Order: sequence, then C-alpha cells, then structure tokens
Amino acid sequence: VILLGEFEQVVLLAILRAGDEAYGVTISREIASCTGRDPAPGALYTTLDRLEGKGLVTSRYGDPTAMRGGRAKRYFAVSEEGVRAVALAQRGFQRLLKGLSLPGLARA
Amino acid sequence: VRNGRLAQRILSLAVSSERAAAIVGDLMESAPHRGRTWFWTSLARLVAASLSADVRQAPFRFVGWAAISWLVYGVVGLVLTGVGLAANFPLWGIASIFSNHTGVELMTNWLGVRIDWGVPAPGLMRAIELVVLAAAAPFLTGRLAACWWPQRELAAALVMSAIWPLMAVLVPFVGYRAAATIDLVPVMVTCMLLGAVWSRMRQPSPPSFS
Repeated sequence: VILLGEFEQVVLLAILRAGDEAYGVTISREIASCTGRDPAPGALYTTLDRLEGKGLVTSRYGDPTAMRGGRAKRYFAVSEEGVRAVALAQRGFQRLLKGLSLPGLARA
Repeated sequence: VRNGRLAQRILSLAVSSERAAAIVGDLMESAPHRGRTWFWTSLARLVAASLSADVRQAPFRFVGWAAISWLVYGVVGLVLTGVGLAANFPLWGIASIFSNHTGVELMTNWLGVRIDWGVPAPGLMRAIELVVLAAAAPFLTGRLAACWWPQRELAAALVMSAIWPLMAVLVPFVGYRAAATIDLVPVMVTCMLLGAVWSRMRQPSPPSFS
C-alpha cells in the first residue's frame, strides 16, 4: 500500500480532473479552482516528479508550441496504481467524515 | 518574459533539460497574468525545491560522499601539488644550467646584463601550492562529484560546500598548513561549486527556439 500525503492526493485528483489536458498549468488551475489555494510551482513539480518516481503517474512530452517559445508541454496521467492509491486514501477520509456534521459540508 | 532561454539554462542546473524546457514553458504561459517577478521568484523556488528534493532522496549518501570528497580533494591536491613542484624543479634547473654553465653568462656579463637563476623562491612554491589547493584541486573535485552524481551535480556540490568547512576543522591536512587551509575554505568551496556547474553546463544544451 502506497501512503499518500495530502498534497499528493490533491495533485492526483487534479490530474484526473484535467484528463487528457493535464500539464503543469492546467493541473495548477484545477487545484486553485477547487481548493482556493494557488500551488507553488516548486511544490507542484517536485510532487509530480515524486509521484512519477513512485509509479503513480506517467508523463509524456507533447509537441512544441509557439506560445510557449517552442517548448513542449509535459502531459501527466494517473496510472492504475495511482488511481487505487488515491481511492484508498479518499475512502479513509470518507470514513472519518461519516456521521459528522460540519459547517458548509453536506452530512456524509 | 524575454529571458526564457536563460531561465531554462538556470533550471537545467537542477533538473533535466527536457523537464526544464517544459517547466519554463508552463511558467511562460502563466507569466502574462502573473508578472515577471512571479516568474523569476517561481524559478528560484523551483531550483531550490528540486535541489532539496534531490538531497532528501538519499541524504545519508550525500553527506557520506561529501565527507569522502574532502579526502578525495586532499589526494587530488597532493597529486597536483606534486606534479606542479616536480615540473617546476626541472624547468628551473634547465634554466639555471643554461644561464650559468653554457657561456651565456659571459655574453650577458659582457652586455652588462645580469641573469641570475638561483633556487626557486619559497614564495613561488607557496603560490603554486595555493593555486592548486584553493582552486585547481577543488575545481577537479567538483567535476568528480558531477561524474559520481550525474543529474544531481549541483545538489551534491551544495552538500559538499556545507560539509567541507566542518571537515577542514576535523581533518585538517597538516601538510597544507591547517590554519591557511581553513582560511581558504570559502575560495575552495566556490571553485568546487564552479567545477560542478561547469560539468553540468557542458552537458548537451537545450534546443534553440524560434
């Protein structure tokens, strides 16, 4: 079982939400829009590298685009193992929330 | 942001060229909304975060290598000093024989010019020793670190720069006059870092962009 940190879960979920267009900018945008926190690029990219090292995400380079000064995008996708790990971690959260009534959160 | 290539060069000191290109592309895409200060601040934090992540992956190995590298530096320094002095003596000897035992001195005396090739001045020997110990040997050790830690040269060199002052106190090279060696540690560390950066920069450069 691969244990995930909180930010690792956030990043994995953001990649899943961004789908085929998951690269640095869109992942950062997803995190900011869903959590209200703008991730620091340093934290985001080192986390992505770490997740790739653990085999939880895969990456590939796209074609260079003029808008980015001819630089390619690095697209990320969550591996099957990554999906399992994030689902397991989220089940833990759901169990903890079960029966709790928190302000601004629907009763689980 | 105009200096994308410079940014990529800086970032590629800490991550691979391909990754640096992709990350700088991401930063350039976001920069129009966030500004130049954000771009450069993010870049600096990215470099720091990447180097820190490299060290955190194997902290004990990095510290162990850094301690060993002080001994490697000592050996490299000894060898280079030996080579420098060994090369110095024959050259000085040949010059001395030429000027004093080949009739050249008769001619120079006749011309009223005095060429005196005595023994090498102690100051010169010390200068050779200092250049080797403070610059050449640390630079080579930095390059050796680059061979041992490919793609993590700078992280290794930074750990070494933190450990070397400590090692200079714990394991001073008596033959190098310990006090002087400790005084020279900042220069040594700078040259060692330059050696690591030099090796990193000599790797294939990122593709040029239109």
